[in-house]
Amino acid sequence: MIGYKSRLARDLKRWRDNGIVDADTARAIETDIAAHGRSASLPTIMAILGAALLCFAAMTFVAANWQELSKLTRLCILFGGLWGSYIAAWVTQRASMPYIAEAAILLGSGLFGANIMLIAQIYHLDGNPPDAVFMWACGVLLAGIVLQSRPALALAIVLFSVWSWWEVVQQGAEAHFPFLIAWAACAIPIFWLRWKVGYHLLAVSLGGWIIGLGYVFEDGDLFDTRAAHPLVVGIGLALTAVGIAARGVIERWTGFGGPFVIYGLAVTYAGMFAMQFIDDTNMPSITILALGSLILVLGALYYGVHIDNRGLTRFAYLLFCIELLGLYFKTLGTLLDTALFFLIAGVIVIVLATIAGRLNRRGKSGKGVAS
Amino acid sequence: MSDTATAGAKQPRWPLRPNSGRFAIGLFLVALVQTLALSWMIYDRVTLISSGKEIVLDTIPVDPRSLFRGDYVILNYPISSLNLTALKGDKGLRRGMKVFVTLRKPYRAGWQPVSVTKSFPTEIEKDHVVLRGKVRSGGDKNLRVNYGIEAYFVPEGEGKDLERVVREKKLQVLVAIGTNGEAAIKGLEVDGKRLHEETLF
Repeated sequence: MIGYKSRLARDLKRWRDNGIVDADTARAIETDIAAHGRSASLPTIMAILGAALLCFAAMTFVAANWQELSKLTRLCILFGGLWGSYIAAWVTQRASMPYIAEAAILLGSGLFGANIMLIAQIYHLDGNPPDAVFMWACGVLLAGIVLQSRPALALAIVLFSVWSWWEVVQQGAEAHFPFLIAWAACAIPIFWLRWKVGYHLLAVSLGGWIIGLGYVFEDGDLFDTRAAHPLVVGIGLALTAVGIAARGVIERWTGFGGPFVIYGLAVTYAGMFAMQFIDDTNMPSITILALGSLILVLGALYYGVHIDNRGLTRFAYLLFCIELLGLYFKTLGTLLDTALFFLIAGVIVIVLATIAGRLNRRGKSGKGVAS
Repeated sequence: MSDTATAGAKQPRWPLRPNSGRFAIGLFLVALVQTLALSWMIYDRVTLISSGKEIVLDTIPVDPRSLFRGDYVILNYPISSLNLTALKGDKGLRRGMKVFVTLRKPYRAGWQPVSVTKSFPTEIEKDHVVLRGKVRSGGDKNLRVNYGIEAYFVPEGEGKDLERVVREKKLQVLVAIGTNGEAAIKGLEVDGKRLHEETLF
């Protein structure tokens, strides 16, 4: 939002200087943006950071291991802190300080987790640690849904991701499908609130889970290990295709059409990267995969320019750099091969750039004739 | 990313709040449910410690530090490593599975495993107890099992002292076992004398 505001201010100045927009209209636009723009305010950020610090203080308090107090006193402090946070949220909400109320809800959610750890410590509970994280995440999700708290929903997504990762580490190599249910439970309220940052968090957590599929399967599980990364590529391509085909619908329903394609592309490329540079792949296969990756990246670049999606264009540039660096390190030692690859890749890219330029010019002249 | 992306989506005002009465009820509900969840954790432990069957297990401590849970000693038990070739029970046990280990105590010796099963045994002999655990690692011949009694929390800095005290002596753990096989640490014993005993509250 901040980027949009500054870009609009820059464009407005240019339009006014060129006489496209008169001074009154420019002023009206600036006033409207100032009134309706939702940028993160300093008090909000500071209140949330303050709540996070208090949560860490509570957790460190746990680490200090307060044996001088009786168990009953400790339990009273735990429950008192929890209820105190929610009472503070109510008081500050009534005092028209919604941002502080939001921070207090986040503090209560954090203290709920600290209390789980403390009770585990008091009673020497050493069960399955991911269970404790799951319980924490459920409590935080409840707060997020009932109180429509965006920070609590964000914390719930993070906690469910940690829970899933921990379960995979604990159980050994196996895909953790219950994560998808927890993810959907977080997605529903976020979709209902039309929360854009929430969509990004959902995309990152699900994207990470899908990419993780490439690493968690072992021989004898659902399928052969060698099929794991291609599966990730397949899912990524499917998501990208859905993002392109249904861009209008996704945009209308969520306003997330552009980023959707970027995340699909990220998942696809993560799988291709693993196949090229992490798996034990021979050189001819790497060459084919590298060509495939370059076509994917250049396709994304073309599509990004075509639909005027700057994020996608920049992301494609980034992937292009990663791919070239990966190839450089992979083929290091055989300088002749490396030089040959870059020569061929360079020629292909220049030829594609020329074709793209011609297509672009043809498209523009076509539009000119049509108008 | 296009910043006009949300133009088509209907944006609710932020922060979206119900009227203060509903907000107060929501806060009360969240606090109540979270309190009940924590209370259930405490109730479960207190019930187990107060009414579970007591056994004393031999152990060997190691001293790490948990980031969030203060100092604690990790307790290893002879029954944590199981030689499946010498035991009765189910096969095909894998990492992450819940298992039930039946123990018996021979005269003047520590508790020893008799069988490992995937479900709670239907018949238990009088001098046997059943512990519920989770397979940490292993396969067809050997198994590492966690029973949820592997950590004992001590005041900051005392973990090393405790380890020093028990280095030359025999450390044992007093464990309470519930009817479903769940185990909880009730106290520590050194050479048969109670060193730490847990109070309920």
